[in-house]
Amino acid sequence: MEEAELEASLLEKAQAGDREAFWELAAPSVDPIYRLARRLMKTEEDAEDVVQESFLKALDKIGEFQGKSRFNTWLHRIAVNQGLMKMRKRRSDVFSLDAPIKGENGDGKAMDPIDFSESALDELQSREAAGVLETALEDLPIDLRTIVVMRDINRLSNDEVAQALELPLGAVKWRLHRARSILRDRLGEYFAERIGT
Amino acid sequence: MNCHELSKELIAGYVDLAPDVRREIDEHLRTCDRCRIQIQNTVATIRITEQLGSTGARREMIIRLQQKIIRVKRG
Repeated sequence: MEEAELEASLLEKAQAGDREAFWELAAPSVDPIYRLARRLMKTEEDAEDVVQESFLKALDKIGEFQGKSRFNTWLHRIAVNQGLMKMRKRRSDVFSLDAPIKGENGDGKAMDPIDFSESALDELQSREAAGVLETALEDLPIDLRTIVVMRDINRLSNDEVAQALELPLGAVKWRLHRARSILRDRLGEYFAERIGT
Repeated sequence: MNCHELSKELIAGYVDLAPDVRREIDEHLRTCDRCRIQIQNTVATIRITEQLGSTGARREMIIRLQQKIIRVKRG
């Protein structure tokens, strides 16, 4: 059975109250939703809460899901909303996904960039670079971070990210490019230091 | 196309561009080391970001979630 066909069949059963079918439909999204939640929330505990609340919310609202997007995309949308709600309760890091983006520095205007592309993909250095990137991700404004996690870590398409966040496609692309530029420049700084020492 | 037209955002989005737009950029890259390096660095950054996707939820958490899903009463 094709993936879309299987998803439609499981969805039909899940909407008729079949919990096993719901789990079969939802289980492949647990890891991606966890990866998203872990990078939205400050603690592991809050991240796991967001995952659990998102799946229970999806179960509760499964009758309202019309299948206009993939189930995984819909779950991403729910998880972002659950994450936002928890942050608001904590009154920390409150944000809006369509807030204007502040300009950043480090444009690389003055200096010529160093070419780190080969070093970064070397196995050992790539592991170190992944650590640098993880920190850089944490420092990103949360709207940019959300988009990078969905697009480059969880491999949703630009269209799916736009659907999940209810943002125009152009806004998603612009933010994604902005985020990738910031991450690239952070890696550039890291490798420039390494080469300099 | 020149460096100014090939803005920072376009460099970051190079990997998502349609082949015909890419071809136009590739023309420029043949003669501009700076833009070429920025694009190679961006591609490397995306590849390393993708590696962050190898992590997942704790097994205990997944089992607990599965049990809740199967047993929870509809409210």
